[in-house]
Amino acid sequence: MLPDSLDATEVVAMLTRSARELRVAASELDALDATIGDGDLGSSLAALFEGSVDEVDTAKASAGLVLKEIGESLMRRCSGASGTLYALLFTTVGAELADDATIDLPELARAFRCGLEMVKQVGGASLGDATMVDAIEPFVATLEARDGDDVTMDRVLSTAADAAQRGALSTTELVAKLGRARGFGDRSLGHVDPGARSFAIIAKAWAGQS
Amino acid sequence: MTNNVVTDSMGEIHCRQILVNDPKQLAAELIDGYVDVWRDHISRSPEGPIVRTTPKERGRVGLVIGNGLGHEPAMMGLVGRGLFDVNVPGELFAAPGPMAIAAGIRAADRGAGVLLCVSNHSGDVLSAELALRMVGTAGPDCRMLRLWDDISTSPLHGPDRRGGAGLLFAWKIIGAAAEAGLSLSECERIGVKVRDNVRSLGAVFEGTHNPITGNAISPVPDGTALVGAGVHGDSTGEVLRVDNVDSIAELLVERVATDLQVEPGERCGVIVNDAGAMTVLEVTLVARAAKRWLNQRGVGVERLWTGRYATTLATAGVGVSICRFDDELLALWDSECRSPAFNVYGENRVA
Repeated sequence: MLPDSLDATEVVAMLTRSARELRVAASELDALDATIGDGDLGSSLAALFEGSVDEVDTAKASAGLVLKEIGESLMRRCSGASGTLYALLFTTVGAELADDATIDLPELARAFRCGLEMVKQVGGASLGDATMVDAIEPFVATLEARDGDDVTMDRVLSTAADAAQRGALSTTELVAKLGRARGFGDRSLGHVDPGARSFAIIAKAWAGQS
Repeated sequence: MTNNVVTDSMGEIHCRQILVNDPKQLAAELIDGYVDVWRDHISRSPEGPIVRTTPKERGRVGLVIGNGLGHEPAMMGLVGRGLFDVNVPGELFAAPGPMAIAAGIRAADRGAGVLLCVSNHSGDVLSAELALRMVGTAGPDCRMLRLWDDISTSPLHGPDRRGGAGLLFAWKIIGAAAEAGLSLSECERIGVKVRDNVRSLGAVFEGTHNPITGNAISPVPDGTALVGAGVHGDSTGEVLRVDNVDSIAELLVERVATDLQVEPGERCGVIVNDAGAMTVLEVTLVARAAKRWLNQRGVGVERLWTGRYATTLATAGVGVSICRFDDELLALWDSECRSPAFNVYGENRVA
């Protein structure tokens, strides 16, 4: 069970789980990427997150500072389009939350909304373009809605992670309009976008599922 | 962790396996070794970018480019007099991040502005755009120039096309313009002119292997060619049977010349690029066939080059690139340049 207010230890654990789950899924993501890209997305993202998580000072007292540091580390280390977009997402989230010792749901939702908007603005993707935005948007929307009567961090993050995965799967019905996959036209139909799937993996790790 | 044999309906397809040490150290070891081998030309600055060992005179435009590794000698080997001031290497087939590019822009500044050249691939463009924001108004006057040439990546010559080996025409010609002391705006104008007059298309005969993922890149059945294979092994998927060198060379040159709309009486340059594992015999036959095809249609081939310029590890593939020349572009192409991978020794004919 995740607490309703995330402290530094909890955030470090979420990030560590993200890196571990990306490593576990590296071959799956490489294979998805190989159908429409150059087949290294999983290996690259796993190495990027592992390196950045290793670099973060886990003794930080503040949850916000941990996120700020992970964002900065990703930005220093990133390579390739997907890595750079994750660096942009997490530097924005980290900058929004840097002053917060602990993080509650409304703050998390607001910070991820800012991060998502930055990724959309700089990356140029909208919902339905078969990119990572198709997983991040429903994740953020679920955090923002906080529907139902059991509005706990644990349940809402879990619901949001499910929404991210549904969003990732929805990309099989979409024609890629951006990134390397764009040149493949209709051939991207029937394939899960590896960028969207990678965010679903991270979201699931954040929700404490494995 | 290696999978350099792919089984398809035609049986097993072998791809040349790439030998490395710890994949995590691949980038660091490659850069370290390459800079040491070519230390007369290039050095590594403390901030990370590859720079010229003897910097360009102050008061001239600086040229910088970032790129993923695996395409050697591009682009580390194209840093030198008459070419780039700075190269920012990323990871294998992955563009460097924006902070690294921003450091490259600062390293390239010789007091007359910086032209950030970008081979048009999504990661490279994204990093370049973010780097420009990071450098901001406090940094040197820097402009980004996106360049593309690969006709297999989109039907129209524009920003939906990606960069390929034919951009050597752009690197060489923009490099000559900057070395000659032309302004940032002039370098940019000339760069756009080359981009709009260059086209490329490649074909792969035997694929290679990604030493990080362990997977095959561009596996192709024996006796066939994968047409339109880009610099990462991504392709349009068109597979043709190959009878001899002339037939594939003519197919490539015809498509490239048609896309460029080369007319009889025009002059051009031709580059035949070896994607990493061709023989000199083969690329020479391709160059010979390409020149003959153009000459037969009344097109003058002023300059003809073959070589291993932009590779995809050990891919056995060739690319044919054509650049339409006018007096300005030809003079800039002919001016002297010195670098690990590309040298023109002629008189400097730039006024």
